[in-house]
Amino acid sequence: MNNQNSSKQVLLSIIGIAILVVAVVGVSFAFFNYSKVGEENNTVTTGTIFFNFTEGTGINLVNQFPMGLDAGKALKNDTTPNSVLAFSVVGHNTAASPIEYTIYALEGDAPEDETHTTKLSNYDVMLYLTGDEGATASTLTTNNISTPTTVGKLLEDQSGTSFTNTFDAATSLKLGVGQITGGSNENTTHKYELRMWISNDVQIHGENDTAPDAVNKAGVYSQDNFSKMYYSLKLHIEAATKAAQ
Amino acid sequence: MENNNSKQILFSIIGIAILIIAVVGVSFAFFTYSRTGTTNNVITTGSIVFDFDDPITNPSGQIAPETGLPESGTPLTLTNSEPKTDEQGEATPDKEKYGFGIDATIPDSLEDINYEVYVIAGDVPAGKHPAAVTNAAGTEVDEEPTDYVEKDRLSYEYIGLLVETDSTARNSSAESQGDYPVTGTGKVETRYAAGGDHTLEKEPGTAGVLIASGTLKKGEHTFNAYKLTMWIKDTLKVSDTDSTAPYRASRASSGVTGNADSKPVYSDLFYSLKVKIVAGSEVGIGG
Repeated sequence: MNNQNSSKQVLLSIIGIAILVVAVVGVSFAFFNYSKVGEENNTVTTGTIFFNFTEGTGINLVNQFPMGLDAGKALKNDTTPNSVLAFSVVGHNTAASPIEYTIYALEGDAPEDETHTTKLSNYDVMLYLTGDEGATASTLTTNNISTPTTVGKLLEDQSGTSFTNTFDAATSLKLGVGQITGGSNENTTHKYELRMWISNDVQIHGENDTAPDAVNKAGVYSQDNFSKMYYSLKLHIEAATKAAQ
Repeated sequence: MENNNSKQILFSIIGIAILIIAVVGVSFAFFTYSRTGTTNNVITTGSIVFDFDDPITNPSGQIAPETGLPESGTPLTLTNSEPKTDEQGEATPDKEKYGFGIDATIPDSLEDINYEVYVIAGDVPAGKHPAAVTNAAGTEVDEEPTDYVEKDRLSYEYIGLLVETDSTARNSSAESQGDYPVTGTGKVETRYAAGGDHTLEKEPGTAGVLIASGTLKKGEHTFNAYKLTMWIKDTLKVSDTDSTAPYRASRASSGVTGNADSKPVYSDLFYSLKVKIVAGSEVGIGG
């Protein structure tokens, strides 16, 4: 009798525990299951954006003397080798916002020969930047360098007096700004040509002559001093694309 | 309570930051490019030599025995000159002439350069002469002078000039190059070389009188030498009695009063000139 009661108690205990387990854990058992993977991919892919600046053979004009506007503007590599720097910027921009770029000039290195050791004044050197249609539309009209201008005058217009061989957005000589429009899946190229020459306002006089008055702040040099001079500059490009609003 | 305040401040800061980013954040560049070109764009100047040798060796081109180099020239100094005919003036020996030259090397990269040679009035020489003594009415009187004044410039119209090229002249730079006499192929012209109007400018200090011109060819070393002489022309008349004569021989204080009033005395006169060279791309020949 006692054994029968004990067996019942064990059985009831097991069932009770089972019920308790079911009561506690069993609620997480779904009695209905549904599972399906959606067909639409919600994706982020990156756009294409690149920008590059390439230069042709640099200007290397030797034995130079003051040159008039028409002659300076007409310089060509075909007839006067190394008289024109051709350079271009290439951009590919699928983003909505344009790539905005600025062309600067930095002080270049002095020539390696031992004769030309004195740098011409910024008012002695004319710069003339021209571009193709795309470049002209966005760049040159802004900065008016499409009219030959002395470096000194350009600096004046930017409230500067000098520039160095290190880029500094505040002081480097700005030659032009442009932009590669966004939303395009093709390369856009802007081609430029830079010419520079010694201003016709520069005056050279004999060693024993009285120096004439300066014209437009250009230098007045004796023939001996003039023969020892040079001017050198490099280009620098800054470009950036701003995030769309 | 303090916790709530802290949370409010934190939420306010976050909110403001989000607002700033929302408004200003569009100017953040997500793509940048910065590059300095590798090419130096360089201009170097050329050498041009243009010297005015003043004076150069004596026009006859003598070599000084002690140095073997050309003798130095000297400016004309004519004292106690008397009027001469043009023929006499032009016959002046070379060694009595004043030599000067253009010594130039024009690089290939330039165009030909024209030059012009002028004479302009020179300085007043040292020395003074007695000033005329006048009465209250301004008339010169026969009294001993008490004042002295600068010499009077002889009127240009009585000066004869002769300018010639000098193929025998040498200069030291050409000598040092073992390349003398150097001649360019440019055009050379002289003025008043013989006959003609041997006159000078009327007013000192103006552009002067053109006496020669030439062209210096690019790519050439040129030494163009000239010799110059001048004389008092025989058209000048001096008289104490002839009222048409521009000058008198004696001053009133010497006791000669016939034609003495206010005309310069011949012995008080001088004439001087300098040579001036003008060269450049804007100088035209034969202008």
